[in-house]
This record gives sequence, structure tokens and C-alpha cells, in this order.
Amino acid sequence: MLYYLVLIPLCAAFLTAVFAKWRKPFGCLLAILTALILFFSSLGFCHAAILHKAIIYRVGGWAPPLGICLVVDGLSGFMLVIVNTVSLLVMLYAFRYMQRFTDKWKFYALFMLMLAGMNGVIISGDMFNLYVFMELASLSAYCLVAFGTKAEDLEAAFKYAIMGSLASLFILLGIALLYSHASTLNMADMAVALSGRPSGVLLVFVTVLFLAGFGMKAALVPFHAWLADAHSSAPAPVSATLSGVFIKTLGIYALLRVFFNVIGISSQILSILALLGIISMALGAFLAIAQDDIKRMFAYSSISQVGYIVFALGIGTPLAILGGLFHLFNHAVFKPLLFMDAGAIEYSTGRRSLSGLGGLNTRLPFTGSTSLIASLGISGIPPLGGFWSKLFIIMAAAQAGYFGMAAIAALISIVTLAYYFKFQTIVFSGAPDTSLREIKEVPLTMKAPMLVLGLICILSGLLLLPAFKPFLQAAIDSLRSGIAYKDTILR
Amino acid sequence: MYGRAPIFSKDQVVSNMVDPLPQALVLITISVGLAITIVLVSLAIRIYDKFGTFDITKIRRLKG
Repeated sequence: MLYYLVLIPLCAAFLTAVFAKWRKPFGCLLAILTALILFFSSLGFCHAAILHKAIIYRVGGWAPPLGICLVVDGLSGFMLVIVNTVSLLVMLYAFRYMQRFTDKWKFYALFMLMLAGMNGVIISGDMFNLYVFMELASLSAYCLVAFGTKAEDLEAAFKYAIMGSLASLFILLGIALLYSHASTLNMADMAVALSGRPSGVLLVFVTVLFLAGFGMKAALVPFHAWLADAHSSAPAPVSATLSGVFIKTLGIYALLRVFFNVIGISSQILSILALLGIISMALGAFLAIAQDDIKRMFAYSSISQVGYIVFALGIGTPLAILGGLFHLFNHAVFKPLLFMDAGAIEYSTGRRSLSGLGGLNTRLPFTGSTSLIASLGISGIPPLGGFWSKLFIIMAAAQAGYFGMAAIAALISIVTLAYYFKFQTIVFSGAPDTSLREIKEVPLTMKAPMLVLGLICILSGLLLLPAFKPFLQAAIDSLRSGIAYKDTILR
Repeated sequence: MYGRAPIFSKDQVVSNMVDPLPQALVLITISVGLAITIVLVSLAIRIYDKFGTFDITKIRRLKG
């Protein structure tokens, strides 16, 4: 049944492309229905994965070393729930937001393809399938960034496409070299083959290729140049998905899966990850302060928050991994919410530069309050979820002896608060400009997903309670088990 | 050469064989590459419509 996670959105994309030309709302309704089905099935698969440790589907009935297998373990289940929840809310939001664009069915078809690609990356148990699904998702993302077809959109999409395909090329080369070394593409079988041999120069080279490739997909700092352009030029629902889940799925999840469960994590790789994380964290935050465009500010903020996640995973202690994965979850809640708020501001006023906005709280109270919640969450104000994840990360860094880095992480948290405070005061407080007197609040179908995300943002701290703990704990366990992953698959 | 049973059947001695997997992989990679090239070329054509040039030093509207 696992292949439905890929098959359903693929079929939806096909049906949309065939029928939506004649029946206008067809694409949108089908997309919402698909996202709804995927949301519930991802919850079911995550639950099953927690109960049974891992569920495996053998494609064509071939047992793992020979055939391709699809796997949902704790980490995959965790990611599936995040991706499909955010996609469902984004689809609801897009229903009204996308009305100002022509050829909306293309948006829905491309979005469904992207969703199929992301789900495929998460459930794939085979290196080459990972690459193919990654390309499927990236290709649709390039087109979605260019969806507005303004000059800036096209430029951003072109830049993104060049950088993205370069990253894919690195990853493909890495996979090809690993295949030549291990004579297998199945992740579990590859882990068996690699663990029995001494690690030579080839493995070091492959590690570098994967770090560069997945790092580029995740926009870690030396490879981050495309992100701010792509995420700020795309339509708001696309920005919300790209920043919220896309970079985490293709970048962080794939990186973790390959390094922790296949190649086997070493202290050198961990310290490189921690270093890249801390650089991204600092540089992203300082670049975000200087921005005038709201969406560019949020995009740089994404780089900074991804830095937090990678830094935490680079520390590698159980507490740090908990903090990192919990921060991944939190960021997947408040960043889509912030991009939806930016989209709502753009929808109502037609502007998105800080200098052209002001006093919106009187005209857009709902957008104002949800973006306040998201801003508080991302800056780490207790008792919102973002506070706990950052606290865990900083505590774990101090425990592991990275005192300097812990201090930097705490300082950057204050910088984050500063630029979100700047955003809140400039855009929402004060009296509105005369040109902004006539604007209206966004329609209900856009408010509803923002409300849901706002509520999750406030309540996400509850995930740490014992009743909900297995959701995070299963993901931590599958990372901590390392290359024992192979025994789960090949049992 | 004689025809022989599939290589993964029992009591079958495999002396020499070609790995069939890379052929499949290369084929898929080529089609993925084709798809990306098509997207890039169509983006480039639309960029030419907007900017009137293919010179990447002149296509610089995004800053910051």
C-alpha cells in the first residue's frame, strides 16, 4: 500500500492535466481531495511505523537486496506527516490566492508532481530511486518558482534550476561511485557492503559530493545563493511549501538518511555539519536584517533556521537530535505561516516591501495576529514550540562542550527576535498610510489554514508530553540506530 | 552461446555476465537530463522575451 503515497499525487497530476482545461475548478478540487487523502494516509503510515518499527513494501514482490523497496520507518513517518499536513493547508490556501493567475490547473498539476516527488524521496529505500524522485520534485519546483512569469520570477527560476541541477549532478556522481564500490543500490544492502570494507579515498570523495549536493538542496551557507531569490519570487503557496518542507525533505532528510543510515556517521562528518550549521545560522540571520522585501527576509530567515537544525544534528547527542528534529517540525509550522501572511499582505495591498507598508493591524487584524504568533514562535519566546527546540539545541551544545557555538546560537536567537520585531513594528503597528485605508482582510479559505498553523505553532510544545512523545522518539531512534538500519530492512 | 536459465536460479553457475543495472540507470539519467534541459531552454526563451538579451551579466534584477 505504500506506493499509494506516490501513485495518488501522480495520478492527480495526470488527471488535472487532462481534464482541467475544460472544467475550471476540477484541478483545485482534485488537488485538495488528493492532499486530504495523503494527509490521512500519512498519519496512518506514521502510526504503523511507530508500532512496527518499520513498514516495508517490496516492489514487484522482490526481496530487498535484489528488488526495490519502499520503507517507512520512524524518521520517514515523521517527515511524511509534516510534508502532507503542510501540503494540505497550502492547497486550501491556494484555492483563493491563485485566482489572480491564469492557467491555474498547471499550478495544481505541478504541485501534485512535486508532492509525489517529496513523498517518493521520503519513502524510498533505494539510492537511485531517491535520485529520481528528487529530480521529479526539483523539476516541478523550478517550474513553480517561474509560475508568475515576471522577469524576476524567470531569473530566479533559472538561477535555481542551474544550481539545483548542479547539486543533482553531484548526488548522481556520488551514487554512481558508491554503486561501483558496493555493487548495490539498495540502501540497506549498501550499508552491509560498506560496513564490511575499510573506508578508502573513494568514500571520502563520495562524502564530499553528498555534502555539497544535499547541502546545496538544503541551502547551507556556501551553497545558499539561490534560495533567497527562488523563495521570494515564487507565489506565496509555493514559497510556503519550498521553505517549509521542500528544503527539509530534499536537503536535510536525504542528507541524514544517507549519512546516518547508509554510509555511517563519523565524528568528522558531524563536526563539518555543526560548522556548516553555525555559519548558515549566523550569515542567514545577518542577511535577513538588511532586507526590505518581506519575503526575502523570510527566505534568509529560512537559511538561518536550517542552520539551527543542521547544527543540532551535527552535535549528534540524543538531546541535540531531539532539538534538531523538533526544530525541523517547528520550522515547518511557522515558516509556511509567515509566507502565508506575506501572501495575505500581498493579496490585500499588492505590496511586499517594508518601506511601503505600515499600520496594517487596523485593517488586517487576523493576518496581524497570526504573523505575531509565528514571529514569536520563530524567535523562541516561551511557551511556544520554537522556544523549547532552541533551548534543547543550546543546552545540548553546551553539554557536548561546544560552548562557543552554544553562545553563538543564543546570540543569533536574539538577532532573529530583532528582525521579526522590525517586521512586526513596521508592517503592523501605528496608523495606516492613506493609500492603505481601503484594503480588506483576506477571505475565509485563506484564513482557515493560517488559523490551523497558528494553533499548531502555539500548541507544538505539547509534542514533548509523554502521550505524543513516540512521534518524535521514533524519528530519533531511527537516526540513532545508525547503520543498524540495514538489519531492520533485511531481517 | 546457449540460452540459459535466469542467473538467480539455484544450481546455476555464473561465470561471466554483464551488469544490466547501469544501462537502466543511464537511460533514466538521460531522460531526466532531457527534461531539465527542456525546462532550462524554455526559461531561457522567456527570459529573452523579458530582458532582450542572453548575456547573464545583464540579467540582474534580483539583488540583496
